[in-house]
Amino acid sequence: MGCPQRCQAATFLSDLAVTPIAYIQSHLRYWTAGHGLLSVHLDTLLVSWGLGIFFCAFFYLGARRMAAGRSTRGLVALEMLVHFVDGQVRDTFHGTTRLVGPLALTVFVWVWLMNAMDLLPVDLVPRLAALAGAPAFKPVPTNDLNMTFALSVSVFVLMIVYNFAGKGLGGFAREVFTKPFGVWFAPLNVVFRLIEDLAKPLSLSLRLFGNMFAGEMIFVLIAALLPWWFAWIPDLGWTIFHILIITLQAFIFMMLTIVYLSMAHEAH
Amino acid sequence: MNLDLTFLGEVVGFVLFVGFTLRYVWPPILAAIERREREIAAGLEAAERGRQALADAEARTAEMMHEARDRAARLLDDATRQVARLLEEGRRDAERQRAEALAATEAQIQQAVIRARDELRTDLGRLVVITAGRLLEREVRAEDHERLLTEAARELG
Repeated sequence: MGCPQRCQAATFLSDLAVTPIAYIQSHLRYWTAGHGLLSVHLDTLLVSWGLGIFFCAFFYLGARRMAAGRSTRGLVALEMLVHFVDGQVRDTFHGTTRLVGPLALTVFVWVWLMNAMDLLPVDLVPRLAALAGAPAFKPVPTNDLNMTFALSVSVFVLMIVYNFAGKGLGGFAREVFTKPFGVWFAPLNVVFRLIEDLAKPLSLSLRLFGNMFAGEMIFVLIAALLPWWFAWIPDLGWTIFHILIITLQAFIFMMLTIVYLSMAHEAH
Repeated sequence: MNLDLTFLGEVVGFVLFVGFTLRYVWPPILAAIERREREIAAGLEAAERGRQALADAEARTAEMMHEARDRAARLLDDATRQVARLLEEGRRDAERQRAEALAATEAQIQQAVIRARDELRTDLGRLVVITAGRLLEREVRAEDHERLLTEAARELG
C-alpha cells in the first residue's frame, strides 16, 4: 500500500524491481473476515449488496413515478432499457414466464454496476477504505469468483427447475438418456449431458471473472509500471475501451442466462 | 480466491434482488410501456382517421364545387335563353304595334281622302250648277238643282 508516492519517487531500477510487485499484490488481496471456508470477503459483499440495493431502489422509484403517469427523459431511458431486456427475452425465450424478464434485467444492471466499479481510479476505493481501517479492499465484486459463481450457480439451479417445469420428469429423463446418441448409448448420453450442463455455469462465471480480473490487472499494471506523468495516456485509452467491455460482459451474461434457461425449458 | 461464505451471501443477495425486481419493478414498468404503446397506437389511428376525414371533406368539397359550377352554368344558360326570348317577343310586339299604328294611320288618311273627295265633289257640283245657271241665265229650279248635283256627284264619283 501507499505505493504511488514511492512509485513516483522510484526513478532507479532497483526500487522498481521490488515496489511494483508489492503494489500489485496489495491489489490482489480481499478484505477478509474469518478463516478458510467460513471466511467472507467483506469488500465484495459490501459493494455488491450496496449496488444491488441501489439498483432496486433506483428502479423502484422510477417504476413508481412511471406508474403515476410521469414521463421524463430519465424515466424514458429506464423504460427503453426495460423494453430492450424484455425484447431480448421475448426473442429468445419461447414460452410464458414471469421470472426470466426480471431475472435478466437484474443480471444485466447489477452486473453492469459491479463491473463499472472498475472505472473508478484503481487506487481510490482501496485508499478510502484504508483510511476507514480496512487492511485491503477490492472494489469490483465481479472480480471475485464467489460473486460470479453465485450468479451462475443460481442460474444453474434455475436451469434444473426449468428442465422439470418445461418437459416434466419423463421428458427430462428421456432427453438425458437418449440425446444425442439414442437409447443404446444411454450412459454415454448421461456423461455428455453432465459435461454440457456443468460447462454452462462454469464458463458463464469464469468468463465474467476472467474479463474483470484482466481488466483490473491492466489498470494495476499501468499504475505500477509506468511513470505517473505518462500513465494517464494508456489509462485513458483502457478506460474508454473498458466501458465497452463491462457493458458487453454484462450483456453476454444476461443473454446467456436467457439462452440457457430457454434451452432448459424447451425440448432439444 | 477460494470459494467461501461470500458465495452464499451473494446467492442470497441475488435471490432477494431478483425477487424484488419481479415483485415491485418489472410489472409497473412493463405496464407503463404497454400503456405508452397503446397510446401511440391510438394516436396513429386517430391521425389516420383525421387524414381520412380530410380526404373525404376534400372530395365532398370538390363535388360541391362541381355541382355549384354546373348549376351556375345552367342558370346562366337559362337566363341567356330567357333574355333572347324576351328580346324576340319585344321585337315582335313592337313590329305588330308599328304595323297596327301604320294601318290605323293609313285608314285615317284614306277616310280623310274620301271625305275631302266628297267635299270636293259637292263643291264642284255646286260650282257647276251655279255656272250652268249663269249660262242659262235663269235660276235652276230647286228640284233640278238637287238632281243635277246628285248626278254630277255620281258621275265624278
